[in-house]
Amino acid sequence: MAINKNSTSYIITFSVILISSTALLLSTLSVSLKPMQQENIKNEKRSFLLASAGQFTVKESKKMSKDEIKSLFDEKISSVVINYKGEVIEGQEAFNLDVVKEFKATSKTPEDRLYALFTYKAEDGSKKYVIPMAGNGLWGPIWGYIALKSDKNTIDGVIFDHKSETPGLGAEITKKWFLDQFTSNVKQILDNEGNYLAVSVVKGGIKKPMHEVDAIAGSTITSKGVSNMLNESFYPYMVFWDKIEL
Amino acid sequence: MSNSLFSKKNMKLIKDPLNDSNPISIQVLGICSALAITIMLENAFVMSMAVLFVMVFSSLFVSLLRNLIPDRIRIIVQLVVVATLVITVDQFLKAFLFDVSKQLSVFVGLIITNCIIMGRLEAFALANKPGVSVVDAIGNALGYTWILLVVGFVRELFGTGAIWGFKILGTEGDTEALLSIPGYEHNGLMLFPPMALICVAVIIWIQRSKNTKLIEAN
Repeated sequence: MAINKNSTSYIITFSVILISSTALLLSTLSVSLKPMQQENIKNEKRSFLLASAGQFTVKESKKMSKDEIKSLFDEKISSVVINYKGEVIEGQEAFNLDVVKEFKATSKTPEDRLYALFTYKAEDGSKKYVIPMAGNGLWGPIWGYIALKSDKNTIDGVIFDHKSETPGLGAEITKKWFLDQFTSNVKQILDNEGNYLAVSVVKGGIKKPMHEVDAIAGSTITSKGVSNMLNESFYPYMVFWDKIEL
Repeated sequence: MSNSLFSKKNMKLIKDPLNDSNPISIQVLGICSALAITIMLENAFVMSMAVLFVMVFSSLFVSLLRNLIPDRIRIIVQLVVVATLVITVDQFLKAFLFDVSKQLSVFVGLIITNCIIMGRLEAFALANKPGVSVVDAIGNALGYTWILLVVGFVRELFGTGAIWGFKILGTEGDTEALLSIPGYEHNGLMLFPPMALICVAVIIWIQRSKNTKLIEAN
């Protein structure tokens, strides 16, 4: 009895068996590897937080063990979760707050979202503040960590990352040359009168050296995404800091 | 009658794609990843290993199933097999080689679209036994690998002065580099994709001049 390979019923049966087996294989694989993948992502987050505050460079952190980074993190970083009004929210772990998820949740407006604030204790006892932020790139989400000096105004370090921006174009936001722009001279988020001005990414020349950086040639949308991300992310923290100074 | 593993026929299947029918320089397949991933030698190596893995196992599975696959959906079936293997590679990279997976970023997924893989499945695995299909896959993957390694080596060395991340060349005063040469400057152009194309073109040029079988009769 020869089975007709090209009969409709055979094609359907074959497809169903093929798809079910590959689906079973991939889901099993995904579930069993997830803990290790999550641990890698957490390690990267800790590295980025410490690196943006100047503990080490990202390159150096790659040579360190996960445990080393974790103990440095536990030792030097404290955190708090606030809402849009600058009020502290108890019972939330700042590290576990997924900034990208909060940003993308379509049901939430900026007023509904939660915000994490990390405080880094430097060797000399001074404090730096690291703010995680998220935004939209061209093809997917972008996010970053921005560290402010103890004056809560001057930028001390930045790190950006993305999911699927184009290598050589949008993906350049992760590169040293782009990040160094934020620290090569004094960049501040408040103007001389103490009003919120943030740092923007501009094309065609910088007019305000303390509040602007150069965009990436050929990636207008990603550069704009970074600019919007920077401009929109500081507000709740300003409110929070005003509150605790009162 | 089965051939021994190192029979003449099998050796030809491995040796041919290294030179006479090299997937990149002669068949001109899989160029995209050759351009994009060869900025660093380490990335080029990992990509080659990933492609080797996907090619070997996709050729194996498609060859095993070759008498069962309905003709009308054979391309889709090949695609499913290749995609499943690539996703498997991606999951393993994210779990065990996280930094590498970040460097390769979107290019791991693009292995699915690598013409060499589908090309060999259509041209060979669908019509041949599993054993020889695997040997053919290995041969073509090695042909792809050596080109990627050569281009990666040249681009990383002259673009950033390093080989596999270890700094070799540097300007005067560069303490990390093995050789500090006064007045030396890294060739930034090497880091752009067009340079990879030029490197591959040079390889094709050398290959065609030296390999008499490839010189077209005028």
